[in-house]
Amino acid sequence: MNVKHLCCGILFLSCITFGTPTKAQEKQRNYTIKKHKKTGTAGALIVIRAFEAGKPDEQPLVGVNLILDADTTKPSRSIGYEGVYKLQVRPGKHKIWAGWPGYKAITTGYISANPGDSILLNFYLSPDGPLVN
Amino acid sequence: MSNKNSRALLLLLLTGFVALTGCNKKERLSNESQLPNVVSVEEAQKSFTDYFHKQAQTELQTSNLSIAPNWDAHTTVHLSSKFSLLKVPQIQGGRTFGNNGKCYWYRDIIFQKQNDKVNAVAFEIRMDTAYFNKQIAKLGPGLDIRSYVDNKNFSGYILFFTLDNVFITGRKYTAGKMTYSLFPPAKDKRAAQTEDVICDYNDPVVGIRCWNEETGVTGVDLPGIVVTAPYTGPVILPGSSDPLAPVYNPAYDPNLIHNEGGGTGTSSPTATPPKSPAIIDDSKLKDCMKEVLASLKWQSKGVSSIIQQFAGEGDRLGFNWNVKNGPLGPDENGSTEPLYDRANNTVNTTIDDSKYKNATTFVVARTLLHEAVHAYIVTRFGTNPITANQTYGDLVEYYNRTQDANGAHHMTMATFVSSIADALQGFGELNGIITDRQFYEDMAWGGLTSTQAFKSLPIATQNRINNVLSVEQNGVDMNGAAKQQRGKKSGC
Repeated sequence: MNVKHLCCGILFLSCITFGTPTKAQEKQRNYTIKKHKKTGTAGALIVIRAFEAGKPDEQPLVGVNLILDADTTKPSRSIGYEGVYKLQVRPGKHKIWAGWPGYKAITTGYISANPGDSILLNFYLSPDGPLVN
Repeated sequence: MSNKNSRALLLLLLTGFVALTGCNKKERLSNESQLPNVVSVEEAQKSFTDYFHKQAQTELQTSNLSIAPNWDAHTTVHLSSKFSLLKVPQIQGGRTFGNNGKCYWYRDIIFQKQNDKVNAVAFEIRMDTAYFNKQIAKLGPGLDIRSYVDNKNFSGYILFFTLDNVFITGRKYTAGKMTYSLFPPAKDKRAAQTEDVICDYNDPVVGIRCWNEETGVTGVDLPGIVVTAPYTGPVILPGSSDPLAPVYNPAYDPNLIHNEGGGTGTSSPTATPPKSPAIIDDSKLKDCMKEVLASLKWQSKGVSSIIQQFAGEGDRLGFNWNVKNGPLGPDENGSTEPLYDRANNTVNTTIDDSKYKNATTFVVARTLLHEAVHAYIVTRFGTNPITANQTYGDLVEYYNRTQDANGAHHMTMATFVSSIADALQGFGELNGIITDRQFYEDMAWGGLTSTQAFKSLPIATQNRINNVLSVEQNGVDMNGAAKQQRGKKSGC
């Protein structure tokens, strides 16, 4: 093994080690989470947008319904014409559900919200099956 | 404010936004006198004076905004061949908000004529401080404040007020693109003064709709919250609907704005109304079904009115329904795509003619009506999602609970079986078939037998309905015994 091969090997291993997503940008199957830290704030903020799956560059969807803490009976809220919805949440772990007639609904895993966190949550909704009969 | 006046105000607001975002200065300077609906300066002066005179008489709130505009500096903005605005500069200045930010702003009065009545609103531009400084650096100091506003890169707020300074609505622009809309607090939409709505220029995204878990308050957000990743692209707008109307006053059908106003578009490409008239495209439907569909268009009983709306009659939807023939699953008579095709302003339905070989025209009719209702709901959700969420609250709640859009549609549809029966009866009478009302009500359950509403019926009733549906579809009852059909053979 010469020096050139050794360098390539190190480069390859570096790619594997450092090329994976960080916690700050955790990519799931049909939603993404980006976390930003802001000091001096007791609460946490989750900023939510929804896109049609496969079209992340298009305008965000309007009207998509959201439920904070998806396994509870909290009422749904809907994304307005601004295309974004802000949820101020208590620090802790939260599941968020997003859905709208015509799209397959998505429920996130537990999202950990710490004091001062600003979390950008993007949903990518897939079209649902046809309406029949 | 009366319905008519409110509608006129909405039209004025919509066109006012267009005035800033959709026209350049060359377009504004055209031959005013040759165009209809142009407001003359004299008419505007009279309207303005009358307004404040009336306010003073009734001792309502007045303000220093009764300062006379600079009539000599008026500009006419032609939005289309039918609609124009008269913009008249009124006041301007610099104003401190919060502790640090200073906003440079000006206010024009916009006049528009509709049905010979002149309406007016105050139109205020507030430039973001950074934007204003950038424009000064670019163009040099000392110009009229309006000279620093460039449609192409404008960052700041466009706000509308009544002439006595009550905030109505607004939009935020960043780098020439609309980033979101602003509304007064939900509880009292018309009562907020400026500072209650737009407060903190340190906050770059004031006004985003939000919900505070701690307080349970929903509505327009006020300062103190920083969004780390605000959306800065164009805002999606629902078909031809005015995005302001549903929140400003949910009672209005926003399509009226464009029907009356000619709709010259807004800042979003998806806000442009459909260019072609509403149609039902049945060119790929079998002739046997086209005939039934044509019959349904001819009468307006019950849900047939939906088909008329798609066809462009009466209170039309303004959108298109594409109905074609095609193969479907074993138990599927018809199928409608769950999402509205915004690119083509269309909702798509497929009918499988192979299912109607032994069926009567009643089965074809009830399927078309059923799919028309699906299409109607899909169109409502696709073109005006916020209003649809409210109008079809039960459907949304059902979907949220079950994630079953088909079931949610059917649950809604089951609540107007009687209306579907009306339409079927109208179809039957138009085709010379006289039979009992019970038959039509039973037929109306077609496609809805999996709903809770159907399952709640007495078993004997369910059996009767299932037999009627089976006989009309296949000529045999649920036991396979051949029975006389009420309707004519479909010929498919």
